[in-house]
Amino acid sequence: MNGRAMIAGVIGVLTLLFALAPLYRGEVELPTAEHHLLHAAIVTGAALSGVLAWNPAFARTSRLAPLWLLIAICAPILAMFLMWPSEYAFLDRHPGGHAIEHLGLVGLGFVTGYSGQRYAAGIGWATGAALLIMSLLAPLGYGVSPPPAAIAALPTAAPAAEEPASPSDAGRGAALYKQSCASCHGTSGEGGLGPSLKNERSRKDIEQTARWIRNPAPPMPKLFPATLTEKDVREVSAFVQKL
Amino acid sequence: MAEGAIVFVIFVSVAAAAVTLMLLLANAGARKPLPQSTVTARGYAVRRWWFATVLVVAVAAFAATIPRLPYPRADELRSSPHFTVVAQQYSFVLPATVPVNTAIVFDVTSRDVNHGFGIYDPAGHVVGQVQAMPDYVNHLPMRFERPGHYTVRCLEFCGVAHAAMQGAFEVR
Amino acid sequence: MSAQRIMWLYILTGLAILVLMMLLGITMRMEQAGWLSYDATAFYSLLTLHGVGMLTAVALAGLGTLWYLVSRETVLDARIAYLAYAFFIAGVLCVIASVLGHFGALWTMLYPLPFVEASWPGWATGTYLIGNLLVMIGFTLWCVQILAALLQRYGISGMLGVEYIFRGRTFEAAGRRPPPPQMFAALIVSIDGFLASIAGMAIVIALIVRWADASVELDPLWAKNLTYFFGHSFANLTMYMAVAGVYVGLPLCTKREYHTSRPLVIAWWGTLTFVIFAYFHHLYMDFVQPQGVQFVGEIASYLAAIPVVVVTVYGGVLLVHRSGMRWSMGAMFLYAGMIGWVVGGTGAVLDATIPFNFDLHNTLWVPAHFHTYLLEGVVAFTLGWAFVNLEQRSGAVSPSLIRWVTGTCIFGGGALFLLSFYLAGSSGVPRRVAIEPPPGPAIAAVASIGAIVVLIGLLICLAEGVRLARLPRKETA
Repeated sequence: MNGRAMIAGVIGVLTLLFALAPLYRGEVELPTAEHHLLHAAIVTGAALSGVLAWNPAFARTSRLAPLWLLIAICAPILAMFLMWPSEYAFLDRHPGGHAIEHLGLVGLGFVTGYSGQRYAAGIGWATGAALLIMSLLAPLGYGVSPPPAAIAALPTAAPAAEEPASPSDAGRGAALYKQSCASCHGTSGEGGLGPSLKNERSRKDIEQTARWIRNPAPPMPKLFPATLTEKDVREVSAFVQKL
Repeated sequence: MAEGAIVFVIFVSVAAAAVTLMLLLANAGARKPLPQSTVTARGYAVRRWWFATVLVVAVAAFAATIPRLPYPRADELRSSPHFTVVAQQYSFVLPATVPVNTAIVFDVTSRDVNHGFGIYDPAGHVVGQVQAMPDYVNHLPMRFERPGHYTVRCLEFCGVAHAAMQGAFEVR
Repeated sequence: MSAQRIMWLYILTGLAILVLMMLLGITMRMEQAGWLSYDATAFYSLLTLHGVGMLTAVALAGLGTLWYLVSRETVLDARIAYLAYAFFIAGVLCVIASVLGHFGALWTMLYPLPFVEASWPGWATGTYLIGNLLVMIGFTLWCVQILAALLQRYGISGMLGVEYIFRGRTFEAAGRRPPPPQMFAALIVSIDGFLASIAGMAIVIALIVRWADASVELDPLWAKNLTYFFGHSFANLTMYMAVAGVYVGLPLCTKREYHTSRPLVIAWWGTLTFVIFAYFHHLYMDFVQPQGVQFVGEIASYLAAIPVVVVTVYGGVLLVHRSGMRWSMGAMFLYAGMIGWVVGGTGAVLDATIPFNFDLHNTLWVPAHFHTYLLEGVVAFTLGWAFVNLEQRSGAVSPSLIRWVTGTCIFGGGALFLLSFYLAGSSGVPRRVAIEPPPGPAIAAVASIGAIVVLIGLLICLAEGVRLARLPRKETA
């Protein structure tokens, strides 16, 4: 057995031992980003082992070349799917399943490196690098998002005090309508992108209007409770009823 | 002249010059053809100067942009009054008025998808913009020298009513 | 010859999709002019298909050209070309299906868009995303095959031209030559393409996971960076694919030679680097990006112009100048394409200037510059290369009347169409709006006329191509 195969074997075994950590570490709770990084280490070790395991002296069947290339490209894709962030919480609590998932990553990593080399000498490094890059990109945003925007208590659509009331408009409902509804339903309810609201009272009573605003069907955006408070919904419904 | 008009004039001038020059140089068979070695000898001699010119223009242009960047500086963020802007499908939550001739900062975010906070002056020209992203706040420093009614348009595709997503504020 | 058949399969598929996407584009410009009326949902669905379809079309044509040119110098397995083609077509069919399902989140789709208040069914989102993944797999297959072939033929430092640059004297004294110019185009497309598809697959996979599982959170800024890195690179690379046709086609037309030179190799090293780093120019208006990368984006965008105007286009002009070349359809398109590239580049460099981008971003200036690049650059190069092939094969050229008519339509009509975009953009008219604020609609009317004229020119051009293709092969004495 030559030196190269031995190194491949050593790296492979070390990667496997590392991958089986859930079995001897038991239940853990890792932040997703850190978890992704550990997976990156697993797939990289496995891919390296796969690249080195291929021996240039092996007879190469060019008949299957397209298949080897396809496998080398699809394996990293499958590995990324296997790093499904929302299942981490579940797997962290179930070491057996977690270890099996890691074995999957080891397998896919190894296949990435080995198949690339089987396709063409040197390509295993390229496909292995692709897998490494993808797994390093993951902790930056795959299942990892910043806390919501740091504007204290995102202001709602409530109109400002200086909003001038025109004689024909009445009450807060009119101002709320102008702010949140006019862009689609028209400044006087005549419609546009959204349907006309003229004579809406013949189609929905005030309760039905309020219920619709609280739970509309797309493409109407759901403005409650983020943009409109319960009070806002009642006031704008009252205004719409008068259109 | 509004900045948009300036850029358009620069573009048309440079493009017209390039088109004319390249059409003249094409000169494929108008006069007697020359052997390739003659053309390339002259061409490579000129190219040194051409390369130097292009490089100098690129570096000079880059240097000229540095003092004119729209990005906020830490001292601006500390000392200027802040105004919150929240974009959502399909409207903006905006201040009703902002002060004229004052350095201010808009804190811009989104409740749902990416939007664009695009500011149009009373004459209808774009005077600035910034992206409105969910989970992030973009700080846009502005200074309005012209009072009046400013329109806001959404400048990032945000869904079916994107074209209708507008707002307004007064500068006084 | 099998490689030629693959080249024509890719080019003709690309041209067919191009014509269909042009029809869609014309209806949208007419809708914005107020000549046609359809609702916003339909508009954005068509715009989505138009974007993906156009880029796939020009990419197919370019990839086919490069595949053929690389096959002349290396050993390439035709089955992989067909496999990649199958993935491309499958991807396009998925995208069409999603658009028929009213998907309308557009080609550079920014998370979290399709998952919030979408006016289309969930299956359409998933189909669109899977379609994108299939196209990316096809593209990756192509890139890796070409990379492997170049590696095998020249070795890693040979394919990069390292020895030729750093140990030039010994290299040439040993009688060795660097790879021909079109191999550098193939190299940059395959390396940068491979990197782009890594990023593209990462974000598409993340989006598919999010589509299947709403509890998965993604960072919107991360998503934006990856989306633009893939989209920017893929779009830019279509030009570098098509330029290979110039490297081989113009010498044939001018009967002059074009060799790899030191400036050419260094220029391509520049392109390899600048294309990647320039992508930050899509995020100038995201002030949360670290300011350093905004500078990187701007300088890379400026520097990216240098290899083009100092080496490739300059070299092309030198080839044509006083060459006694007989103008043909092929020569006209190849030369005019270089002019289009420079004009588009002017618009691009202006937009890549951050203080100008502050006003121009997401206005019609953005489609202005890329339509210039794509229509009067990439498509022109593709038509030029196709015609050179047909002219060489048959030994015939088209009547000069046909050349004048198609040239006037495609470049004159094109100028009307494109100037409309630039004028509207500099006047503040936003992009991606079904209803434009004034002066948009009036300008859109002029643009529609220009676009219809372009289409007429293109159809005449394609008919002339068919005529040349049916002529008997030239007898070689």
